Amino acid sequence: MSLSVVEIVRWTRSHDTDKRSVLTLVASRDILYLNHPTMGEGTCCDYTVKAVIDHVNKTVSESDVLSPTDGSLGSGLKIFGKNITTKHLVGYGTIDEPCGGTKGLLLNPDNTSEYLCVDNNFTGNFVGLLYDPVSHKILGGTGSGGNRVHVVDPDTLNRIGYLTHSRISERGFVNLIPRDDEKVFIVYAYNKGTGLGPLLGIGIVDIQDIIDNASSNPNIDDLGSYQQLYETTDYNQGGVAGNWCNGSKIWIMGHDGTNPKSLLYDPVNNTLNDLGVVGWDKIIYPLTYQKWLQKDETNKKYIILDDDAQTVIQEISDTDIIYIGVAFHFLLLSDPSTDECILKGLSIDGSTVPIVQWDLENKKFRVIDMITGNPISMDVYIIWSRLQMSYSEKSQSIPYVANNRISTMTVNGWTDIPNPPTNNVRVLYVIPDFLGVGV
Amino acid sequence: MSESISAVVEYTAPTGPQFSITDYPSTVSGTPSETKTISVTVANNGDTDGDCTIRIKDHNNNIVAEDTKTISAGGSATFTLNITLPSDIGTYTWTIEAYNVTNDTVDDTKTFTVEVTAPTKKKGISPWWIIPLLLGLGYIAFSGYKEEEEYKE
Repeated sequence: MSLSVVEIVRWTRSHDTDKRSVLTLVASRDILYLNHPTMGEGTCCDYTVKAVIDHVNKTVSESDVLSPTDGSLGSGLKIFGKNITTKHLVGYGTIDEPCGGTKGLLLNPDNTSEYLCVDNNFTGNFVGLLYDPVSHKILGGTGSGGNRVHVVDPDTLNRIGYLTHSRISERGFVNLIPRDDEKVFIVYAYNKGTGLGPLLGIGIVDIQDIIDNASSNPNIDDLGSYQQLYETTDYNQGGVAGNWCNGSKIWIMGHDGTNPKSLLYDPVNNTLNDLGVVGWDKIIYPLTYQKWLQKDETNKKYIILDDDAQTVIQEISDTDIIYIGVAFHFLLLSDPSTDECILKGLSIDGSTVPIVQWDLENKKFRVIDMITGNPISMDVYIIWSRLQMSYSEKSQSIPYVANNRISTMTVNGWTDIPNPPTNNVRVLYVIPDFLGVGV
Repeated sequence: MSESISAVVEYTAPTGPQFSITDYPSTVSGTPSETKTISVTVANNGDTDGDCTIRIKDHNNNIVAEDTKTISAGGSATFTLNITLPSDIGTYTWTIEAYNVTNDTVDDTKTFTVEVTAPTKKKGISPWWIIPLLLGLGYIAFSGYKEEEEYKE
Protein backbone atom coordinates (compact mmCIF):
# COMPACT_ATOMS: atom_id res chain seq x y z
CA MET A 1 0.00 0.00 0.00
CA SER A 2 1.40 3.36 -1.01
CA LEU A 3 0.81 6.27 1.29
CA SER A 4 0.78 9.93 0.42
CA VAL A 5 0.62 13.24 2.22
CA VAL A 6 -2.36 15.50 1.61
CA GLU A 7 -2.65 19.21 2.31
CA ILE A 8 -5.49 20.18 4.63
CA VAL A 9 -5.04 23.96 4.75
CA ARG A 10 -2.32 26.61 4.44
CA TRP A 11 -2.15 30.10 5.89
CA THR A 12 0.19 32.83 7.10
CA ARG A 13 0.73 32.63 10.85
CA SER A 14 -0.29 35.64 12.91
CA HIS A 15 3.16 36.23 14.41
CA ASP A 16 6.40 36.87 12.59
CA THR A 17 8.89 34.70 14.45
CA ASP A 18 12.15 33.12 13.36
CA LYS A 19 11.57 29.56 14.48
CA ARG A 20 9.37 26.69 13.33
CA SER A 21 5.82 26.38 14.66
CA VAL A 22 4.84 23.63 17.07
CA LEU A 23 1.69 21.52 16.71
CA THR A 24 0.65 21.70 20.35
CA LEU A 25 -2.77 20.02 20.10
CA VAL A 26 -5.18 18.89 17.42
CA ALA A 27 -8.24 19.62 19.54
CA SER A 28 -10.85 18.73 16.93
CA ARG A 29 -11.37 18.69 13.17
CA ASP A 30 -11.38 22.48 13.06
CA ILE A 31 -9.44 23.65 16.13
CA LEU A 32 -5.69 23.54 16.62
CA TYR A 33 -3.49 24.97 19.34
CA LEU A 34 -0.09 26.04 18.04
CA ASN A 35 3.06 27.63 19.35
CA HIS A 36 5.04 30.13 17.29
CA PRO A 37 8.36 30.51 19.14
CA THR A 38 11.25 32.89 18.76
CA MET A 39 14.84 31.66 18.63
CA GLY A 40 16.80 31.85 21.86
CA GLU A 41 15.84 31.11 25.42
CA GLY A 42 14.42 34.16 27.12
CA THR A 43 14.07 36.01 23.83
CA CYS A 44 10.69 37.65 23.46
CA CYS A 45 8.27 36.21 22.49
CA ASP A 46 6.80 32.76 22.11
CA TYR A 47 3.16 32.87 21.04
CA THR A 48 0.62 30.20 21.84
CA VAL A 49 -2.40 30.61 19.58
CA LYS A 50 -5.75 29.02 18.90
CA ALA A 51 -6.19 28.32 15.19
CA VAL A 52 -9.71 27.81 13.85
CA ILE A 53 -9.87 26.09 10.48
CA ASP A 54 -12.55 26.98 7.93
CA HIS A 55 -12.43 23.89 5.77
CA VAL A 56 -14.91 25.30 3.24
CA ASN A 57 -13.01 28.48 2.51
CA LYS A 58 -9.61 26.96 3.25
CA THR A 59 -8.66 29.61 5.77
CA VAL A 60 -7.31 29.64 9.31
CA SER A 61 -8.04 32.31 11.88
CA GLU A 62 -5.53 32.59 14.72
CA SER A 63 -6.15 34.26 18.08
CA ASP A 64 -3.61 34.72 20.86
CA VAL A 65 -3.78 32.54 23.92
CA LEU A 66 -0.57 33.50 25.71
CA SER A 67 2.56 35.46 24.77
CA PRO A 68 5.22 35.15 27.47
CA THR A 69 8.83 36.18 27.01
CA ASP A 70 9.64 32.54 26.41
CA GLY A 71 7.04 29.85 26.58
CA SER A 72 7.18 26.68 24.66
CA LEU A 73 3.68 25.33 25.29
CA GLY A 74 4.11 22.31 23.07
CA SER A 75 2.30 19.66 25.08
CA GLY A 76 -1.43 19.35 24.67
CA LEU A 77 -4.17 17.28 26.25
CA LYS A 78 -7.84 16.96 25.47
CA ILE A 79 -9.74 15.47 28.41
CA PHE A 80 -12.60 13.82 26.64
CA GLY A 81 -15.07 11.16 27.63
CA LYS A 82 -18.54 10.03 28.58
CA ASN A 83 -19.80 12.02 31.59
CA ILE A 84 -16.58 14.06 31.60
CA THR A 85 -16.52 17.74 30.72
CA THR A 86 -14.26 18.25 27.72
CA LYS A 87 -11.25 20.34 28.60
CA HIS A 88 -8.16 21.41 26.69
CA LEU A 89 -4.86 21.92 28.45
CA VAL A 90 -1.47 23.00 27.19
CA GLY A 91 1.76 22.78 29.09
CA TYR A 92 5.50 23.00 29.28
CA GLY A 93 7.41 25.93 30.75
CA THR A 94 7.59 29.69 30.50
CA ILE A 95 9.81 32.59 31.39
CA ASP A 96 7.96 35.54 32.92
CA GLU A 97 4.25 35.62 32.17
CA PRO A 98 2.03 34.43 33.67
CA CYS A 99 4.04 32.89 36.52
CA GLY A 100 7.00 35.21 36.82
CA GLY A 101 10.53 33.87 36.55
CA THR A 102 11.17 30.47 35.09
CA LYS A 103 8.35 28.10 35.86
CA GLY A 104 6.53 25.07 34.64
CA LEU A 105 3.10 26.03 33.35
CA LEU A 106 -0.13 24.15 32.78
CA LEU A 107 -2.76 26.34 31.17
CA ASN A 108 -6.37 26.13 30.03
CA PRO A 109 -6.11 27.80 26.61
CA ASP A 110 -9.86 28.40 26.55
CA ASN A 111 -9.73 30.32 29.85
CA THR A 112 -6.26 31.72 30.43
CA SER A 113 -7.11 32.86 33.95
CA GLU A 114 -7.01 29.18 34.81
CA TYR A 115 -3.42 28.01 35.10
CA LEU A 116 -0.91 26.33 37.35
CA CYS A 117 2.67 27.44 37.92
CA VAL A 118 5.10 24.96 39.43
CA ASP A 119 8.65 25.00 40.70
CA ASN A 120 11.65 27.13 39.88
CA ASN A 121 14.75 26.86 37.73
CA PHE A 122 13.47 24.19 35.41
CA THR A 123 12.99 21.53 38.10
CA GLY A 124 9.46 21.08 36.91
CA ASN A 125 7.60 21.59 33.67
CA PHE A 126 4.87 19.77 31.81
CA VAL A 127 5.25 17.34 28.95
CA GLY A 128 3.78 13.88 28.60
CA LEU A 129 0.33 15.05 29.67
CA LEU A 130 -1.97 12.19 30.60
CA TYR A 131 -5.47 12.05 32.06
CA ASP A 132 -6.46 9.31 34.50
CA PRO A 133 -10.27 8.97 34.56
CA VAL A 134 -10.14 6.51 37.46
CA SER A 135 -8.82 9.13 39.88
CA HIS A 136 -9.90 12.12 37.76
CA LYS A 137 -6.35 13.48 37.87
CA ILE A 138 -3.82 14.71 35.34
CA LEU A 139 -0.35 13.21 35.34
CA GLY A 140 2.33 15.44 33.90
CA GLY A 141 5.78 14.19 33.09
CA THR A 142 8.70 16.51 32.54
CA GLY A 143 10.76 17.35 29.49
CA SER A 144 14.34 18.60 29.37
CA GLY A 145 13.81 21.02 32.25
CA GLY A 146 12.49 18.89 35.02
CA ASN A 147 12.77 16.05 37.43
CA ARG A 148 9.20 15.75 38.62
CA VAL A 149 5.97 14.01 37.76
CA HIS A 150 3.08 16.25 38.72
CA VAL A 151 -0.40 15.13 39.82
CA VAL A 152 -3.02 17.79 39.17
CA ASP A 153 -6.76 18.21 39.72
CA PRO A 154 -8.15 19.06 36.26
CA ASP A 155 -11.13 20.98 37.66
CA THR A 156 -9.17 23.46 39.77
CA LEU A 157 -5.69 23.01 38.29
CA ASN A 158 -4.40 22.64 41.84
CA ARG A 159 -1.39 20.40 42.14
CA ILE A 160 -2.12 17.47 44.45
CA GLY A 161 1.54 16.62 44.71
CA TYR A 162 4.58 15.52 42.77
CA LEU A 163 7.06 12.70 42.60
CA THR A 164 10.72 12.61 41.71
CA HIS A 165 13.10 9.84 40.78
CA SER A 166 15.90 9.41 43.28
CA ARG A 167 18.42 9.20 40.45
CA ILE A 168 17.38 12.55 38.94
CA SER A 169 18.01 15.45 41.27
CA GLU A 170 18.22 18.28 38.76
CA ARG A 171 17.34 19.00 35.16
CA GLY A 172 16.46 16.05 33.06
CA PHE A 173 13.28 14.26 32.28
CA VAL A 174 11.07 11.98 34.29
CA ASN A 175 8.41 11.11 31.80
CA LEU A 176 5.48 8.75 31.50
CA ILE A 177 4.57 6.22 28.82
CA PRO A 178 1.03 4.77 29.00
CA ARG A 179 0.33 1.04 28.75
CA ASP A 180 -2.72 -1.13 28.09
CA ASP A 181 -3.12 -1.82 31.82
CA GLU A 182 -2.95 0.02 35.13
CA LYS A 183 0.80 0.53 35.04
CA VAL A 184 2.94 3.22 33.43
CA PHE A 185 6.53 3.30 32.22
CA ILE A 186 8.81 5.87 33.84
CA VAL A 187 11.60 7.05 31.56
CA TYR A 188 14.24 9.21 33.22
CA ALA A 189 17.51 10.80 32.19
CA TYR A 190 19.81 13.65 33.07
CA ASN A 191 19.93 16.69 30.88
CA LYS A 192 23.32 16.90 29.22
CA GLY A 193 23.53 20.56 30.17
CA THR A 194 23.60 19.82 33.90
CA GLY A 195 27.03 18.26 33.74
CA LEU A 196 25.60 15.37 35.74
CA GLY A 197 25.39 11.84 34.53
CA PRO A 198 25.31 10.46 31.92
CA LEU A 199 22.35 8.50 33.15
CA LEU A 200 19.27 7.12 31.47
CA GLY A 201 16.85 4.57 32.84
CA ILE A 202 13.42 3.02 32.62
CA GLY A 203 11.12 1.64 35.29
CA ILE A 204 7.50 0.69 35.71
CA VAL A 205 5.01 1.56 38.44
CA ASP A 206 1.31 1.28 39.28
CA ILE A 207 -0.66 4.41 38.38
CA GLN A 208 -2.69 4.14 41.58
CA ASP A 209 0.52 4.13 43.61
CA ILE A 210 1.46 7.47 42.02
CA ILE A 211 -1.96 8.95 42.76
CA ASP A 212 -2.07 7.66 46.34
CA ASN A 213 1.37 8.93 47.30
CA ALA A 214 1.83 12.14 45.32
CA SER A 215 0.85 14.39 48.21
CA SER A 216 3.92 13.34 50.22
CA ASN A 217 6.25 14.00 47.27
CA PRO A 218 8.12 10.70 47.35
CA ASN A 219 10.62 9.22 44.94
CA ILE A 220 8.78 7.19 42.34
CA ASP A 221 11.32 4.42 42.78
CA ASP A 222 10.49 4.23 46.49
CA LEU A 223 6.88 3.31 45.74
CA GLY A 224 6.01 -0.26 46.58
CA SER A 225 4.98 -1.17 43.06
CA TYR A 226 8.03 0.33 41.32
CA GLN A 227 10.19 -2.04 39.31
CA GLN A 228 13.50 -0.91 37.89
CA LEU A 229 13.89 -2.30 34.38
CA TYR A 230 16.92 -0.76 32.75
CA GLU A 231 19.62 1.79 33.47
CA THR A 232 22.72 2.90 31.62
CA THR A 233 25.47 5.43 32.17
CA ASP A 234 26.21 5.55 28.45
CA TYR A 235 23.67 8.24 27.63
CA ASN A 236 22.12 11.50 28.72
CA GLN A 237 18.87 12.95 27.54
CA GLY A 238 19.22 14.28 24.02
CA GLY A 239 16.80 17.14 24.22
CA VAL A 240 13.21 18.19 24.53
CA ALA A 241 12.17 15.88 21.71
CA GLY A 242 11.39 13.52 24.52
CA ASN A 243 10.42 9.91 24.42
CA TRP A 244 7.37 8.10 23.11
CA CYS A 245 5.95 4.71 22.31
CA ASN A 246 4.52 3.09 19.18
CA GLY A 247 2.71 0.44 21.23
CA SER A 248 5.65 -1.91 20.93
CA LYS A 249 8.92 -0.02 21.51
CA ILE A 250 9.93 3.22 23.24
CA TRP A 251 11.96 5.74 21.25
CA ILE A 252 14.24 8.05 23.21
CA MET A 253 16.37 10.88 21.98
CA GLY A 254 19.56 10.32 23.94
CA HIS A 255 23.02 11.85 23.88
CA ASP A 256 26.34 10.04 24.15
CA GLY A 257 28.32 13.13 25.12
CA THR A 258 29.25 13.87 21.54
CA ASN A 259 26.10 13.49 19.48
CA PRO A 260 22.36 13.15 19.95
CA LYS A 261 21.43 9.51 19.48
CA SER A 262 18.34 7.66 18.38
CA LEU A 263 17.70 5.04 21.06
CA LEU A 264 15.08 2.31 20.96
CA TYR A 265 14.03 0.46 24.12
CA ASP A 266 12.49 -2.97 23.69
CA PRO A 267 10.44 -3.88 26.81
CA VAL A 268 10.17 -7.53 25.78
CA ASN A 269 13.92 -8.13 25.69
CA ASN A 270 14.78 -5.27 28.07
CA THR A 271 17.36 -3.94 25.64
CA LEU A 272 18.30 -0.45 24.51
CA ASN A 273 19.48 -0.30 20.91
CA ASP A 274 21.61 2.59 19.71
CA LEU A 275 20.41 3.37 16.20
CA GLY A 276 23.03 6.00 15.55
CA VAL A 277 23.32 9.74 15.39
CA VAL A 278 20.06 11.61 14.90
CA GLY A 279 19.74 15.32 14.26
CA TRP A 280 16.94 17.63 15.21
CA ASP A 281 15.83 17.52 11.62
CA LYS A 282 15.29 13.76 11.74
CA ILE A 283 13.29 13.06 14.87
CA ILE A 284 11.23 9.86 14.96
CA TYR A 285 7.57 9.87 16.09
CA PRO A 286 4.94 7.15 16.67
CA LEU A 287 2.65 6.72 13.67
CA THR A 288 0.58 3.62 14.20
CA TYR A 289 1.01 0.35 16.08
CA GLN A 290 4.55 -0.98 15.47
CA LYS A 291 5.33 1.76 12.94
CA TRP A 292 7.18 5.07 13.14
CA LEU A 293 7.19 8.28 11.14
CA GLN A 294 10.55 10.00 10.80
CA LYS A 295 10.74 13.52 9.54
CA ASP A 296 13.65 14.51 7.34
CA GLU A 297 13.69 18.28 7.00
CA THR A 298 17.11 18.38 5.36
CA ASN A 299 16.12 16.08 2.53
CA LYS A 300 12.48 17.28 2.45
CA LYS A 301 10.80 13.95 3.00
CA TYR A 302 8.85 11.80 5.42
CA ILE A 303 10.15 8.31 6.15
CA ILE A 304 7.84 5.56 7.34
CA LEU A 305 9.78 3.07 9.43
CA ASP A 306 9.02 -0.41 10.66
CA ASP A 307 8.97 -1.37 14.35
CA ASP A 308 12.76 -1.46 14.54
CA ALA A 309 12.87 2.25 13.63
CA GLN A 310 15.42 1.39 10.95
CA THR A 311 13.74 -0.57 8.18
CA VAL A 312 12.33 1.87 5.67
CA ILE A 313 8.84 1.01 4.46
CA GLN A 314 8.27 4.08 2.35
CA GLU A 315 9.64 7.55 1.75
CA ILE A 316 7.44 10.46 0.72
CA SER A 317 9.04 13.60 -0.70
CA ASP A 318 7.53 17.02 -0.11
CA THR A 319 9.05 20.19 -1.53
CA ASP A 320 6.96 22.31 0.89
CA ILE A 321 9.07 21.08 3.80
CA ILE A 322 11.18 23.63 5.59
CA TYR A 323 10.38 22.59 9.16
CA ILE A 324 7.86 20.02 10.36
CA GLY A 325 5.97 19.48 13.59
CA VAL A 326 4.44 16.01 13.91
CA ALA A 327 1.51 14.69 15.95
CA PHE A 328 0.96 11.10 14.82
CA HIS A 329 -0.14 11.44 11.16
CA PHE A 330 -0.77 15.20 11.35
CA LEU A 331 2.05 17.38 10.02
CA LEU A 332 2.52 21.10 10.59
CA LEU A 333 4.92 22.60 8.07
CA SER A 334 6.23 26.09 8.68
CA ASP A 335 8.61 28.48 7.00
CA PRO A 336 10.03 31.17 9.31
CA SER A 337 11.17 33.27 6.35
CA THR A 338 7.63 33.67 5.02
CA ASP A 339 5.59 32.73 8.14
CA GLU A 340 3.63 30.33 6.00
CA CYS A 341 2.09 27.36 7.81
CA ILE A 342 0.65 24.28 6.12
CA LEU A 343 -1.31 21.57 7.88
CA LYS A 344 -0.99 18.24 6.13
CA GLY A 345 -1.89 14.68 6.93
CA LEU A 346 -0.97 11.17 5.91
CA SER A 347 -3.46 9.59 3.52
CA ILE A 348 -4.15 6.10 2.26
CA ASP A 349 -6.17 7.17 -0.79
CA GLY A 350 -4.41 10.34 -1.82
CA SER A 351 -7.30 12.63 -0.98
CA THR A 352 -8.55 12.08 2.59
CA VAL A 353 -6.88 12.49 5.98
CA PRO A 354 -8.46 10.36 8.70
CA ILE A 355 -9.48 11.65 12.10
CA VAL A 356 -11.55 9.74 14.65
CA GLN A 357 -14.95 11.20 15.55
CA TRP A 358 -16.87 10.16 18.66
CA ASP A 359 -20.58 10.09 19.53
CA LEU A 360 -20.30 9.12 23.16
CA GLU A 361 -24.01 9.61 23.88
CA ASN A 362 -24.79 6.79 21.50
CA LYS A 363 -21.60 4.85 22.30
CA LYS A 364 -20.29 5.02 18.74
CA PHE A 365 -17.27 6.22 16.78
CA ARG A 366 -16.32 6.53 13.14
CA VAL A 367 -13.46 7.74 10.99
CA ILE A 368 -14.05 10.91 9.00
CA ASP A 369 -12.02 12.91 6.54
CA MET A 370 -10.39 15.88 8.25
CA ILE A 371 -10.93 17.97 5.13
CA THR A 372 -14.56 17.29 4.23
CA GLY A 373 -15.96 15.76 7.38
CA ASN A 374 -17.31 12.87 5.35
CA PRO A 375 -17.07 9.35 6.80
CA ILE A 376 -14.38 7.13 5.35
CA SER A 377 -13.84 3.41 5.55
CA MET A 378 -10.57 2.39 7.12
CA ASP A 379 -8.86 -0.30 9.14
CA VAL A 380 -8.00 0.82 12.65
CA TYR A 381 -6.29 -0.51 15.71
CA ILE A 382 -8.20 -0.24 18.95
CA ILE A 383 -6.08 -0.25 22.08
CA TRP A 384 -7.19 0.11 25.71
CA SER A 385 -5.43 2.04 28.43
CA ARG A 386 -6.06 3.56 31.84
CA LEU A 387 -4.53 6.85 30.66
CA GLN A 388 -5.64 9.27 27.99
CA MET A 389 -3.29 11.04 25.56
CA SER A 390 -3.99 13.30 22.61
CA TYR A 391 -2.81 14.36 19.16
CA SER A 392 0.07 16.53 20.40
CA GLU A 393 3.60 17.14 19.19
CA LYS A 394 5.42 16.88 22.51
CA SER A 395 3.03 14.55 24.26
CA GLN A 396 2.20 11.59 22.06
CA SER A 397 2.34 7.87 22.55
CA ILE A 398 0.41 4.79 21.60
CA PRO A 399 -0.14 2.75 24.80
CA TYR A 400 2.37 -0.05 25.13
CA VAL A 401 0.57 -3.32 24.49
CA ALA A 402 1.60 -5.54 27.40
CA ASN A 403 -1.61 -7.51 27.84
CA ASN A 404 -2.81 -8.02 24.28
CA ARG A 405 -5.55 -5.40 24.74
CA ILE A 406 -5.38 -4.57 21.07
CA SER A 407 -7.45 -5.59 18.07
CA THR A 408 -8.10 -4.45 14.53
CA MET A 409 -11.36 -3.68 12.81
CA THR A 410 -12.59 -2.13 9.63
CA VAL A 411 -14.59 0.99 10.40
CA ASN A 412 -17.23 1.90 7.85
CA GLY A 413 -19.55 4.51 9.31
CA TRP A 414 -20.73 4.65 12.90
CA THR A 415 -19.32 1.72 14.85
CA ASP A 416 -20.26 0.51 18.32
CA ILE A 417 -17.74 1.27 21.03
CA PRO A 418 -16.73 -2.10 22.50
CA ASN A 419 -16.95 -2.76 26.22
CA PRO A 420 -13.69 -2.00 28.06
CA PRO A 421 -11.75 -4.91 29.54
CA THR A 422 -12.14 -3.56 33.07
CA ASN A 423 -13.67 -0.58 34.81
CA ASN A 424 -10.18 0.85 35.37
CA VAL A 425 -8.91 0.36 31.81
CA ARG A 426 -11.52 2.18 29.76
CA VAL A 427 -9.72 4.75 27.63
CA LEU A 428 -10.12 3.63 24.04
CA TYR A 429 -7.51 4.64 21.46
CA VAL A 430 -8.56 4.36 17.82
CA ILE A 431 -5.48 4.50 15.64
CA PRO A 432 -5.63 4.39 11.85
CA ASP A 433 -3.84 1.37 10.46
CA PHE A 434 -2.15 3.08 7.52
CA LEU A 435 -0.18 0.03 6.54
CA GLY A 436 -2.80 -2.71 6.64
CA VAL A 437 -0.83 -5.00 8.89
CA GLY A 438 -2.99 -7.03 11.23
CA VAL A 439 -2.16 -7.92 14.81
CA MET B 1 -19.65 14.90 18.62
CA SER B 2 -15.99 15.69 18.61
CA GLU B 3 -12.71 14.36 17.36
CA SER B 4 -9.87 12.85 19.35
CA ILE B 5 -7.46 9.94 19.14
CA SER B 6 -8.83 8.60 22.43
CA ALA B 7 -11.95 8.78 24.57
CA VAL B 8 -12.95 7.66 28.04
CA VAL B 9 -15.84 5.26 27.62
CA GLU B 10 -18.26 3.61 29.99
CA TYR B 11 -17.68 0.18 31.40
CA THR B 12 -20.60 -2.17 31.64
CA ALA B 13 -20.14 -4.95 34.10
CA PRO B 14 -20.36 -8.25 32.26
CA THR B 15 -23.49 -10.24 32.82
CA GLY B 16 -23.03 -13.59 34.49
CA PRO B 17 -23.57 -15.02 37.93
CA GLN B 18 -24.47 -12.50 40.62
CA PHE B 19 -24.66 -13.75 44.20
CA SER B 20 -26.51 -12.40 47.22
CA ILE B 21 -26.67 -13.78 50.75
CA THR B 22 -30.31 -14.37 51.60
CA ASP B 23 -30.18 -16.18 54.96
CA TYR B 24 -27.56 -16.24 57.69
CA PRO B 25 -27.39 -16.18 61.49
CA SER B 26 -27.54 -12.78 63.12
CA THR B 27 -25.82 -14.04 66.27
CA VAL B 28 -23.72 -17.07 67.15
CA SER B 29 -23.17 -17.67 70.88
CA GLY B 30 -20.93 -20.09 72.68
CA THR B 31 -18.09 -20.64 75.04
CA PRO B 32 -14.40 -19.96 74.40
CA SER B 33 -12.94 -22.07 71.54
CA GLU B 34 -16.22 -23.88 71.03
CA THR B 35 -16.95 -25.18 67.53
CA LYS B 36 -20.29 -24.08 66.09
CA THR B 37 -22.02 -24.93 62.84
CA ILE B 38 -23.72 -22.17 60.88
CA SER B 39 -25.81 -22.14 57.71
CA VAL B 40 -25.62 -19.51 54.98
CA THR B 41 -27.98 -19.43 52.02
CA VAL B 42 -26.90 -17.77 48.77
CA ALA B 43 -29.01 -16.92 45.71
CA ASN B 44 -27.65 -16.54 42.17
CA ASN B 45 -29.53 -13.59 40.67
CA GLY B 46 -27.43 -13.58 37.49
CA ASP B 47 -28.17 -15.05 34.12
CA THR B 48 -25.61 -17.84 34.08
CA ASP B 49 -24.51 -20.59 36.45
CA GLY B 50 -21.45 -19.84 38.50
CA ASP B 51 -19.22 -20.79 41.39
CA CYS B 52 -19.67 -19.00 44.69
CA THR B 53 -17.27 -19.19 47.60
CA ILE B 54 -18.64 -18.31 51.02
CA ARG B 55 -15.94 -16.99 53.28
CA ILE B 56 -16.30 -16.42 57.01
CA LYS B 57 -13.91 -13.76 58.28
CA ASP B 58 -13.25 -13.14 61.96
CA HIS B 59 -12.86 -9.81 63.72
CA ASN B 60 -9.24 -9.65 62.56
CA ASN B 61 -10.31 -10.18 58.94
CA ASN B 62 -8.81 -13.66 58.84
CA ILE B 63 -10.68 -16.28 56.87
CA VAL B 64 -11.76 -18.91 59.39
CA ALA B 65 -14.00 -21.01 57.14
CA GLU B 66 -14.88 -21.23 53.45
CA ASP B 67 -16.68 -23.44 51.02
CA THR B 68 -17.43 -23.30 47.28
CA LYS B 69 -20.54 -24.43 45.46
CA THR B 70 -21.83 -24.13 41.91
CA ILE B 71 -25.17 -22.35 41.92
CA SER B 72 -27.40 -22.40 38.88
CA ALA B 73 -28.80 -19.17 37.44
CA GLY B 74 -31.88 -18.22 39.44
CA GLY B 75 -31.13 -20.90 42.01
CA SER B 76 -29.80 -20.91 45.53
CA ALA B 77 -27.67 -23.09 47.78
CA THR B 78 -27.13 -23.49 51.49
CA PHE B 79 -23.60 -23.64 52.81
CA THR B 80 -22.91 -25.36 56.14
CA LEU B 81 -19.71 -24.24 57.77
CA ASN B 82 -17.99 -24.98 61.06
CA ILE B 83 -16.42 -22.12 62.93
CA THR B 84 -14.36 -22.07 66.09
CA LEU B 85 -15.25 -19.26 68.44
CA PRO B 86 -12.57 -17.01 69.95
CA SER B 87 -10.78 -18.21 73.08
CA ASP B 88 -11.51 -15.01 74.97
CA ILE B 89 -14.84 -14.01 76.41
CA GLY B 90 -16.40 -11.08 74.58
CA THR B 91 -18.63 -9.88 71.75
CA TYR B 92 -17.23 -9.82 68.22
CA THR B 93 -18.38 -8.83 64.71
CA TRP B 94 -17.59 -11.36 61.99
CA THR B 95 -18.21 -11.15 58.25
CA ILE B 96 -19.71 -13.41 55.62
CA GLU B 97 -18.54 -12.79 52.03
CA ALA B 98 -20.07 -14.18 48.86
CA TYR B 99 -17.11 -14.28 46.44
CA ASN B 100 -17.94 -14.63 42.75
CA VAL B 101 -15.28 -16.93 41.33
CA THR B 102 -16.26 -16.22 37.74
CA ASN B 103 -16.12 -12.44 37.93
CA ASP B 104 -13.43 -12.22 40.62
CA THR B 105 -15.65 -9.96 42.69
CA VAL B 106 -17.19 -9.96 46.14
CA ASP B 107 -20.89 -9.74 45.31
CA ASP B 108 -22.35 -9.49 48.83
CA THR B 109 -21.20 -9.03 52.40
CA LYS B 110 -23.06 -9.53 55.68
CA THR B 111 -21.99 -9.29 59.29
CA PHE B 112 -23.05 -11.28 62.34
CA THR B 113 -22.36 -11.10 66.05
CA VAL B 114 -20.28 -13.67 67.88
CA GLU B 115 -20.88 -13.80 71.65
CA VAL B 116 -18.43 -15.75 73.75
CA THR B 117 -19.44 -16.28 77.38
CA ALA B 118 -18.04 -18.21 80.31
CA PRO B 119 -19.09 -21.85 80.63
CA THR B 120 -22.25 -22.29 82.78
CA LYS B 121 -21.63 -24.11 86.23
CA LYS B 122 -23.25 -27.52 86.83
CA LYS B 123 -26.37 -27.54 89.03
CA GLY B 124 -26.27 -29.47 92.38
CA ILE B 125 -25.54 -29.10 96.10
CA SER B 126 -22.67 -26.86 96.59
CA PRO B 127 -20.54 -27.30 99.70
CA TRP B 128 -20.17 -23.58 100.17
CA TRP B 129 -22.45 -23.59 103.22
CA ILE B 130 -20.16 -25.97 105.16
CA ILE B 131 -17.61 -23.31 105.96
CA PRO B 132 -19.98 -20.77 107.56
CA LEU B 133 -21.73 -23.66 109.33
CA LEU B 134 -18.48 -24.83 110.85
CA LEU B 135 -17.53 -21.29 111.74
CA GLY B 136 -20.93 -20.77 113.36
CA LEU B 137 -20.69 -23.96 115.40
CA GLY B 138 -17.20 -23.10 116.44
CA TYR B 139 -18.27 -19.65 117.55
CA ILE B 140 -21.15 -21.01 119.58
CA ALA B 141 -18.92 -23.56 121.22
CA PHE B 142 -16.23 -21.05 121.95
CA SER B 143 -18.66 -18.47 123.32
CA GLY B 144 -20.21 -20.99 125.73
CA TYR B 145 -16.80 -22.04 127.09
CA LYS B 146 -15.92 -18.46 127.87
CA GLU B 147 -19.19 -17.92 129.65
CA GLU B 148 -18.52 -20.92 131.85
CA GLU B 149 -15.16 -19.52 132.78
CA GLU B 150 -16.73 -16.19 133.65
CA TYR B 151 -19.29 -17.82 135.89
CA LYS B 152 -16.53 -19.65 137.64
CA GLU B 153 -15.04 -16.35 138.70
